Amino acid sequence: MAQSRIDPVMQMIDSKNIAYEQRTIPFHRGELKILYIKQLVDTRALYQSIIEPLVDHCAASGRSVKAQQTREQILYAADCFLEDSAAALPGHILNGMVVVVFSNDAQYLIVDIKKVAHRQVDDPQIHFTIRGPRDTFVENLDTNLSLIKYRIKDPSMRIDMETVGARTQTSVAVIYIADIANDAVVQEIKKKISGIVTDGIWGTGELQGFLEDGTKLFPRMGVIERSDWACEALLEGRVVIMAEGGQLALIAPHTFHESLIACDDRYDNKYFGMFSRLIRYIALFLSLCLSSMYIAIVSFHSYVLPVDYNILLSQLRKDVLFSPLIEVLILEFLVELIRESLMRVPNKIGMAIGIVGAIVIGQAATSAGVFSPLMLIIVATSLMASFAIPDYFSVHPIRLLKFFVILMTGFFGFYGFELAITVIATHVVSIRSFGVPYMAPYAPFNRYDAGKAMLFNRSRSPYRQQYLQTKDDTRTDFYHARKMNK
Amino acid sequence: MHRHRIKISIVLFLVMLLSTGCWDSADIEHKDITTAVLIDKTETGYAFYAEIASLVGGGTGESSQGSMPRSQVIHGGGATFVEAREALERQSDQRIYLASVQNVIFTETILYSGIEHYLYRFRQNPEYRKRAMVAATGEKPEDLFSAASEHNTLVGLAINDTIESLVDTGQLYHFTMGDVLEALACPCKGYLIPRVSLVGQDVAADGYCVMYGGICKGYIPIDEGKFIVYVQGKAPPFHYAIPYEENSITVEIRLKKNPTKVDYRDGQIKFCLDMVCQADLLYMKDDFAMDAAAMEEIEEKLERQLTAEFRNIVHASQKVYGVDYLRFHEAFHIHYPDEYKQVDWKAAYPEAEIAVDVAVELGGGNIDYEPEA
Repeated sequence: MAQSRIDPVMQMIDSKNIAYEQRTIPFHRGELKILYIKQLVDTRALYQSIIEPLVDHCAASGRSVKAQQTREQILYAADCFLEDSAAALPGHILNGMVVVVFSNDAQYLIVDIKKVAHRQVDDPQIHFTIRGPRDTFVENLDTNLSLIKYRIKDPSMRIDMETVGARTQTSVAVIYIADIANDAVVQEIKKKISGIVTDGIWGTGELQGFLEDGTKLFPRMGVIERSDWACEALLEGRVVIMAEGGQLALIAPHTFHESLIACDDRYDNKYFGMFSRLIRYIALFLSLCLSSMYIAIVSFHSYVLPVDYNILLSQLRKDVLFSPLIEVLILEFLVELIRESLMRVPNKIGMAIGIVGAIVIGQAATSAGVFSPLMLIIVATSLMASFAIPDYFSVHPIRLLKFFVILMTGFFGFYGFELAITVIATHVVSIRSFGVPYMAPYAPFNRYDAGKAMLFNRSRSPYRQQYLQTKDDTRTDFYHARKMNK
Repeated sequence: MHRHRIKISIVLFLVMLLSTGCWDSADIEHKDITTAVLIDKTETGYAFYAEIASLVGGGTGESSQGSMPRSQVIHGGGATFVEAREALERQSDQRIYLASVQNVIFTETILYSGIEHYLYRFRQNPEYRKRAMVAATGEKPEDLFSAASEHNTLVGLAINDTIESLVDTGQLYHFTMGDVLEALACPCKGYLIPRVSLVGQDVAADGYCVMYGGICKGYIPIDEGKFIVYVQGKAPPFHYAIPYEENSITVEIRLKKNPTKVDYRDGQIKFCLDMVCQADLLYMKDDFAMDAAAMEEIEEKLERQLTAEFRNIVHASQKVYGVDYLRFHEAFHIHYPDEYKQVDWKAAYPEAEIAVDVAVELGGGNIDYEPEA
């Protein structure tokens, strides 16, 4: 009888072709089997917390053991639970759990002593900060959740776990604060995650592709690597989504102006934060439009410049080989090429690539008359301006749209430029991120939110952003805030 | 449905693109940047002179320019403006770019014969900037441009800079081509065009040409036309020397023009030009004790002299040239709009009575002066 209860379970597990290890421990009138995957468990804890106490007990007691009793009286492991369904056992084994099967019990014991090699918490690589905390997310979901839990100790914070991917069974955590976040947003996100049908996903990048439907160019979810930023988003009423194996978290809803907010804006003086944000708005405009405006002025509308500038421009372009449009396109392409190559190249030769690029493009091409010096300055300024935008992923659509604006201006002058900007603006204002207008708080305009978007200081901002339509929009006690303002 | 909307959006977008746009693309280095245009009347017709900026290449630094001239002058003539323009264009290997013209210069020959025809051509040309300054010259075009080439400067910019600096100091007032077109449209209005000439090899402003419609009526030297600036309402401070006993005293004057008073009765138009002058003593030739009596005397003398200056200006405008370039018609129009439509201003202006009232308030300024206790 003892064998007959275990055998079907073992046959079922064997039929899944899982490469697992097993250890059999006999007891009075029966036996138990410990099943695990060696690469996923902490073998030291396995020995000390599970095998050793079981062996000692079975040898000494002379009685049979059952799952409940083992959990409560024998094992030293902290995280263990009972499982009734045999069909779930392969999943637990694949998930890195230790499964204990008893010959005399229909219940099974699942013990969590997972230990997977992963990176330590590191400094930020994308969202650099001077004054703020520097702990970032890693590929291990438990570590990431711990970074959030130690910052937010609100009992209302919910962490709902989902599983995505038929083969990878990737754990996805949906985190929100229940009495702040908009229920409709939470439900929509959960519904979309549960509706994902795929073999597997490797991180939040692929998850974002599933959650953002449609063909919009601009990202409708924010991407963050820092835990303090994730906590900030949670307190604002947003939802944070993290996936096992991904070191970046997603936040939703996300608006365009948040792409231009850097972490240090919150920690620094509010006026300096506003000044920095203004610089970034200007940088955004320069990144998108500077090259196009050069083409418009040089090829079509030279009369907008004073005559001295016209003469200087003519002198600079006198020996240049290409027309302004072709010149801009070639140079922008070269700059993008250098940007891509610097990202892929090993660190040690990265500097060499930069020097080669500078010499080839800056010196040689200008001397040969391929490009004009002014064009080089303009493209370099446009490139630097794109680096000033804090959200790296929001710059991608700008890089693409820049070429669209350049082509329109090159063919149709300033009229084409205006048309291109109109098309972009129309596209951007039509985007919604989980029900929230992408251009909020500017379109539709909300005076309170727009003011706080530019000039923010937590002590003087008692209300959360109104466009998120959160359940509780009060950050601080209003009367306390008024007293402070006096 | 969604695809249908996308298709409609694409079609609309293409229609917008192709229905209008900038189809006249020409890179700036393929244009002849023209800084000055001179129009002359010859025995056979008309002549255009265009000053084109030379492109040295690679920057405008002194080292890159070396001994290369900054400009070249091309000219073309013909029996009509059209032929002259065509002859001019045949001189150039690139398109003549008129949007960079700083100065439109007329010789006295064409000013006395009339520039109205050319002004109508100018108005129809969208490339010309209406803000281009207008100037007159009594010099021969070849002399004017060759003097500039001696100094390796651009005539257009040199005249511009000269006039601008004189405007800043209150010695001149300038007129743009847009102002000329506006004056042409108003039959009551006369105007003054600054005149430039060569002093040695330098360009200098030496007065005004009095214009009515498109024809020159006379010439005012710059010394006699100094106070015209203040009648126009501009008021930069200036220095003025007045003789006192055997001394010469320099005062700094700030003139302010109050609104002109107008009266029209029984067909008689009367104006009162009301100027308020604040003067400060600056320095004098010989030192002497300044007292209240001396101050009062100087003040009265200043008042008389300034009144005489303004009366001379009004007299020249009314009686000598009969052209209202001092804009009295504007004051009359404001106060008597209905009568203004019925009056023949060209005939009425010389008969108008214009009184000049100058009030002077003299201060001690830099000179030691102790007022009476």
